[in-house]
Amino acid sequence: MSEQDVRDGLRVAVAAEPALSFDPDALIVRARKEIRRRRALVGAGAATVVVAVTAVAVPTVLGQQRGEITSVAPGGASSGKPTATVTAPPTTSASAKVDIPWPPPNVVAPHYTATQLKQRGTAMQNHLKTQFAEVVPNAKQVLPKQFGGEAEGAVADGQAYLEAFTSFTINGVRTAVDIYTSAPGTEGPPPAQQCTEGGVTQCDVVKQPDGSSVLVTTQNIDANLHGGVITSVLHYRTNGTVVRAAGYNYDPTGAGTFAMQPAVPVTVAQLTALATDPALGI
Amino acid sequence: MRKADEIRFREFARSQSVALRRSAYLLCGEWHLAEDLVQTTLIKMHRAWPRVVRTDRPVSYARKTLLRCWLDERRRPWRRAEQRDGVVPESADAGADPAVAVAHRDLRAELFRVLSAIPPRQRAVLVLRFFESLSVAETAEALGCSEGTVKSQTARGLAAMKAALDSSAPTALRSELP
Repeated sequence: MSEQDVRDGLRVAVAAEPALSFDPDALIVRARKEIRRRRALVGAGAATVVVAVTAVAVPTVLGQQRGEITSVAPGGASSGKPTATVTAPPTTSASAKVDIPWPPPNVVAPHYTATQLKQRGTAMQNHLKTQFAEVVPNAKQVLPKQFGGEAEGAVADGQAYLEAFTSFTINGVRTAVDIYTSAPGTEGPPPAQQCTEGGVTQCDVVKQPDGSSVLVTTQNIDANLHGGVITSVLHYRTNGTVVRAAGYNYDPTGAGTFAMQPAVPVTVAQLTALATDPALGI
Repeated sequence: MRKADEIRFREFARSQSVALRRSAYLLCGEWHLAEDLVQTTLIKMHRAWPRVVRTDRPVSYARKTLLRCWLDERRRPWRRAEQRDGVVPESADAGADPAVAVAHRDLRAELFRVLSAIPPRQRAVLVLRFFESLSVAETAEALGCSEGTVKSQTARGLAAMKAALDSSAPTALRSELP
């Protein structure tokens, strides 16, 4: 296939396009409403800033929450080495109801500034530089990327989540684990939706002694990528934070030579150790 | 937003929506999702417009935002998954010669099958380089990576497309082009 074939193919692909079904004027009205909604949310956040800061924001941003989820990881956060936590039999399967009320009541969403998010992202990135190899010992050339939002390292005032890939080589193939964390009091990835997504072949809930929940899903994404599989572990924490660690049987960062592995090369136990790591989360 | 800025944004949205949607369609393979991505992109741009409009490069900004929206959509499994099961999106080309329309439909199906076999960022590089005809430097800027990365991703993307094609497909692709 030559470059010209690609050019011609792309040109033909869009040759018979349907008419635009949205009105740019209506879009502007929607954009204005969106801005008003955001401002209202910020205003509401400011009204409860004392509660938010004392109860959630400061301890979280400063990384002082270690130990809160001590009952999740055997050995606790003080050991510094989160270990596998999926030891109890699943209480829910893909066909059953996911009973994780979310978001938990009475949790006030903090308003993080871009500076706070950058600081927190850097702390998590530095943590992963050492911790990832502890959790996934056969991973080589581990490279945690900058936490960000819409793009790597990009954060904005009021952003309610952080996300980053940690790239590594395993079994001689490059891949990555995606770490996503949403702020307390925000919706985050809805628990019930995890099991109803197309291609989900496994959906297990493991209730933790501290009242938090670990949700494990395996999703076949054939519709997007032939043979692609994503295993996700989501930790729904009692403070309202969600931390998700996802492994792929390919390299989701799109770097390097594309190679599809027969299975996701990180285990559920390893992903669980990352998702329940108290040092990860905002 | 000032009135003058609002007018400029309205003109920008009207003039660029179709072009942005074409790029979005090539990235995601679905007209409806492409339209959603463009709307999300424009809403984000509206928020930043007073700043963006002063850069004199709003198209470049829109392209970057669109790419981010799409990559964001791709890598979160709890977001909507793309539905690319071989069904070709509806076409508005009702007046076209039926034989040509069928050939184009088959070509589109084949193209998207091949495109879906390559990683998102490589697909983005191919769309920017070969559909939007951006230079290596412009593509690197849009994707926030080095020119070397663009070159290597281009080569790998083309190789991956080639590998995904059946042995007869390249000929079919070529022969069905108008």
